[in-house]
Amino acid sequence: MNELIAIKTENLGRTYKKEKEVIEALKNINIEVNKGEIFGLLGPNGAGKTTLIKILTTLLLPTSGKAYVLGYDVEKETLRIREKINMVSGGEWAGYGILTVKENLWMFSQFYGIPSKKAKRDIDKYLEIFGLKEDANTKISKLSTGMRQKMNIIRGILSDPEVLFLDEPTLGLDVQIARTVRTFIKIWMKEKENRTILLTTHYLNEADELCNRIAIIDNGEIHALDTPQGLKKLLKNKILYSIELERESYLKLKEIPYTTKFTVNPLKDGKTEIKFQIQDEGKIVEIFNYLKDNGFTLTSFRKREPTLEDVFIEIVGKELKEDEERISY
Amino acid sequence: MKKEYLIRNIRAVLGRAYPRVIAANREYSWVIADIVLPLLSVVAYGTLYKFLGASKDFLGFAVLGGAMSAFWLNVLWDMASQLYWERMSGNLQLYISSPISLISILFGMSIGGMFATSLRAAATLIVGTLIFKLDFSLINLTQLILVFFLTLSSLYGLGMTLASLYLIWGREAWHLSEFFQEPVYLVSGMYFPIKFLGKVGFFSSLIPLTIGLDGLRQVLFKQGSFFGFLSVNIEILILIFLTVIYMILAVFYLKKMEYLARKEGKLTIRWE
Amino acid sequence: MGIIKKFLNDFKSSFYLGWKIESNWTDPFLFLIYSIAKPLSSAFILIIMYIIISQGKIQETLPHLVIGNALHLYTANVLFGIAWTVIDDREFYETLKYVYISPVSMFQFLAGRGFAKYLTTTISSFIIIIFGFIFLKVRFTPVPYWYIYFPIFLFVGSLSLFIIGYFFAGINFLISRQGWFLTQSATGVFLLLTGAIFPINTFPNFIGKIGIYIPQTVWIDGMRKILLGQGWNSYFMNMSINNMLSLLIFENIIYFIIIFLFFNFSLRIARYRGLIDQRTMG
Repeated sequence: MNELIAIKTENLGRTYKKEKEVIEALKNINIEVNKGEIFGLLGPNGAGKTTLIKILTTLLLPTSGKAYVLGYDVEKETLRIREKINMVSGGEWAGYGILTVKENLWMFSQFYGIPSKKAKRDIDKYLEIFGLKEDANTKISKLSTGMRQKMNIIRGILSDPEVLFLDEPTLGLDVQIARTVRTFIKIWMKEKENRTILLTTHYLNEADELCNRIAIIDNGEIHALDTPQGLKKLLKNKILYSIELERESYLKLKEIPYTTKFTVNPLKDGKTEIKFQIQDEGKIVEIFNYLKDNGFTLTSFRKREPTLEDVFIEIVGKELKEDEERISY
Repeated sequence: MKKEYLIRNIRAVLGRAYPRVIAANREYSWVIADIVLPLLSVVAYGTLYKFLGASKDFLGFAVLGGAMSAFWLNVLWDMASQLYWERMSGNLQLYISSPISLISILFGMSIGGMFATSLRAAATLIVGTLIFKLDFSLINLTQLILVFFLTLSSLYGLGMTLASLYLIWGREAWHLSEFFQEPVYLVSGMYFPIKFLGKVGFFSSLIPLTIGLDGLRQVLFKQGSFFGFLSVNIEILILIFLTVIYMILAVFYLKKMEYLARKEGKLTIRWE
Repeated sequence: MGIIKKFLNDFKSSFYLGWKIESNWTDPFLFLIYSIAKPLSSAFILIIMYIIISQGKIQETLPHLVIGNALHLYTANVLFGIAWTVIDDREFYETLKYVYISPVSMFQFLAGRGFAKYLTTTISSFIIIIFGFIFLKVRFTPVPYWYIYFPIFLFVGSLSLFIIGYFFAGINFLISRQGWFLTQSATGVFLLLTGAIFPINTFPNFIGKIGIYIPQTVWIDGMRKILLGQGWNSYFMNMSINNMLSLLIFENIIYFIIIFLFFNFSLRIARYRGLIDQRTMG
């Protein structure tokens, strides 16, 4: 296998049996992740992102196809892979509540054979970076979700993995902590050339900010794979508009003529934002007239550049709903 | 490479033992629970013997049984059920994806558990001895040491085997532990010499505590050998045999569990 | 009328929930085996100890042990059941907060859950008594009108289980999951001090006398008197059944008043400190 490739899958598939039903969680996945890049898997819940991570981290066997991490077969060469990877999942509650942050991190470091002194030194360093120094001796049962997730990230990088799997690492975190995590990921990647991250997320902005390349996954299939810019270019011939209406109009507004990919977002100030595409720019005046005739008051409108969200809607045919608190991201 | 792997696994054993050793000193509630509960049983059974007019050695049998029951509780609740809880907390998937053998994790849990429980068992034994003013008469120190450590090694081997089996069997692990708890007290002769159960003793010898406890009573009390089930040397051989068998089974079922976990994808998911 | 109907309805739902939690984890056959194996094992340990030591006087003492053991099962299970519900529902099922903010009173809810435990324990107790009668030749030598005294004593004694159960539930509202052993230890202390497996006068007088002030001691010895014709504890030897019943009712009332106040106080403190939905696992 090419030495520049960190992860490779060949027609990778995974099915689950649920009573008499067979669920296809992954279908013929073919990806190549280069060493040194942050590769994003973007998709809604249940798209197959975690299944793929589990296969690549040797937690789950594929039911068809092949997968390699750093050239090693995930089915047979598990130990080789495990020595060089680590993983962090969002909302993870691993560790022992009775131990302190420092003790938990030390314990996990021992599973990677890190000499105690070095482990303790590195733990101190990372606790400082993540602003957890003062909580080093706090029992983890007393930590908040954000602090716990910071600790999980430290756990994941302590073994200095060549490939780090991050499964929704900012899930449920507040905006500030999520930003700290993202900033750290970027710095960590710059420290060494050959580090690779496979990141799953359903936060579009996160994928846009962090990833060198993104695969859009839904229903177990990869629908598109490119750089964020490349993905946005898919919409270069589309005309995209965003308009804002007075008051909470989203309940009444079911359709607007001449538009496609029509989405409605209630805003926090009580206004309603409508995003859509049109084929013929000349129709925009007729659209304004339609809204006026139907009792809607237009407060602003703008022609806009495509975002990953537009790409996602274009490709998958539905919105990737974000959590309420992430709207102001 | 092999040496590195070995060192890594030794570190893992120590790492996983750490929470248990620490827990022994840090959470006073657990310490009290592990001493008070067996002690209450010891006092109850001891007083019953006293009421019935039994000799002092019988009181000693009950106290020793109560002290050793701490190990059985530890094996049931903190070994057999442990991988199940590790799965629930998300630790299991981190263990499986670490570059170590899962056996090291179980070893670590065992060593930590043995250490912590030994302190509690000793406390029960000391307090029980003081309450009932027991007379010990050590017959053979070598046999005592051998029987004690072989009992622990085979008992924790059984715990390691059960840990994987519980996970394979399904979700209600604590019901299984509850199910086993009292019947084992009975068939192992925790509070009376196993000799009185006749042939049942041969079947219950599969639980190392049965033979171990019988051996300990024989080397610690005057009347012990009179009420002994088999000769202590034979019991030592049986305990060696059980240690080997349970270690082999533990490795076998752990591999099977890990294979099933990866094949079916169920064992690393919470609440499945 | 509406209040009673509502009480019964709420009680029924919490009982149903409790019964499902107790029994629904496996098929009925395994559940039966499970219900039999546990109590029979602990009963057998005691019986074997009796047989080994008290060769001559076995017929005198064994019937007392069988009755005491069967009734102590109620104490152990109902007390622990009610108290454990608080921790179990708070931290494992995470439903306690929803029950707390619903119109169902916590008193009723715990009563229903405790009653489920009471019924499953009845199966086990019944098996121990049947076993005693068939295999250990325990004979009924009841007092006159036992058929009147028996249900009354059973009812009043059962009430005391629930009352004391609320005490430990109240404590569990305030403590972390690691405190589970408190109730377990309490049931151990009850085993010693209620004279379930040996007369309390086996202890030095000052310890033995504590037992008199525990309703379960009066209950267990009263039941012995009703079913076997005589009690076991010297403290009640000369007391008539009517007097024992009065003592049991009196102790129940005193315990109820104190525990009712304590339980409500605990709930208030738990709410004040934000402990209703605390998670102390991990």
